[in-house]
Amino acid sequence: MKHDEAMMLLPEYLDGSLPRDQHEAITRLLETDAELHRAFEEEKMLDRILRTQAWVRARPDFTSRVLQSAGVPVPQGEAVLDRVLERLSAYAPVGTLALVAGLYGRAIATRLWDLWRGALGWAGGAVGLGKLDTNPVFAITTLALVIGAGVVAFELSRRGQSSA
Amino acid sequence: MVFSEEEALRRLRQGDARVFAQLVDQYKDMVINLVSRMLGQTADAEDLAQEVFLRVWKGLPRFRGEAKLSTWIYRIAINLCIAHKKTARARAQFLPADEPATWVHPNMRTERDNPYAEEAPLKAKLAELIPQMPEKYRTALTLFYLKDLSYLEIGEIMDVPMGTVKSHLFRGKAWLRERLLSGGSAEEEL
Repeated sequence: MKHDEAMMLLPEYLDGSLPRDQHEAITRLLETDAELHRAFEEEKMLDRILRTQAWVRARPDFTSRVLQSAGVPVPQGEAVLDRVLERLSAYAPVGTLALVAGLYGRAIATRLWDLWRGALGWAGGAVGLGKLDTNPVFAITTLALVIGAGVVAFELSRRGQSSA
Repeated sequence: MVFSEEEALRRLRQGDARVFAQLVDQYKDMVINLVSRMLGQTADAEDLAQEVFLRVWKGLPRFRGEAKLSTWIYRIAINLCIAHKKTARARAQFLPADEPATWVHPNMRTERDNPYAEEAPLKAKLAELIPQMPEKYRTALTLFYLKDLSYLEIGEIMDVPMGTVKSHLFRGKAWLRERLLSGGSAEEEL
């Protein structure tokens, strides 16, 4: 790929919409072409600024003012009910989750703990550490380490992708 | 109650006020932001957004549903902005750029929360530059960054092929970059 073509494709390179071969060609070119690299850094900054422009909200009475000026009569009671229902529907998944947790939380937690201990027991047997499934501090520390390693791996891969 | 687009359109054509209220609620922030970015932060943004929805309401009987409802609404908004800009130019009355456009939500992200706060002056300059951009570039950029619309959707709104959208975006960014990073004059157009 030539310099000029790569310059033209930088926006699509940045938003990840290029075919794989073109993406890789630009990635390689970025390592050797200083001007392209500078343009890419500028493109990234401009993109970030454009994406983080202030977001304004309409005044709370905007809809009623529109309806009023359009001469559209809306029964206030129904409008309020609609809004309440809309808000409630947004919280429905969280509410359901809370309900399930409330009713079966203890049983679920016990089952999960048993599963975890089973997994640790198997792992402990495999590496010759018997206390993996019997010592809660050891088990929780192991769990924290596993989660921590997952988070670090995810973050590293995310950074790798965003800098590509 | 949430309807499918077809059902909402059918009810809207029958003059269902509640569905229209839901439509306004759904798109009001998008339209206000689209208008205020197209024109700059002006006090007229809410008035124009209101006018957009009035045109939507009046135009519903003629809307054939060939495009998505959102595409049609954004197209009305863009056309209104272009007309407004032309009128303003004709009158040679420039709107004050420092007036707050609309009510700012208390939860809105502020510069203090921005990890790139050092870019704030660039952002302020950008807000000044965008309304001065050539119209086609401004429209493409505003739509692209407002809600990550696809090239195809932007093409439908602007009534141009997808390749032209990409070209407008590329040239629009080049126009901005030249003035933002090199300190070039914002008055000259490509």
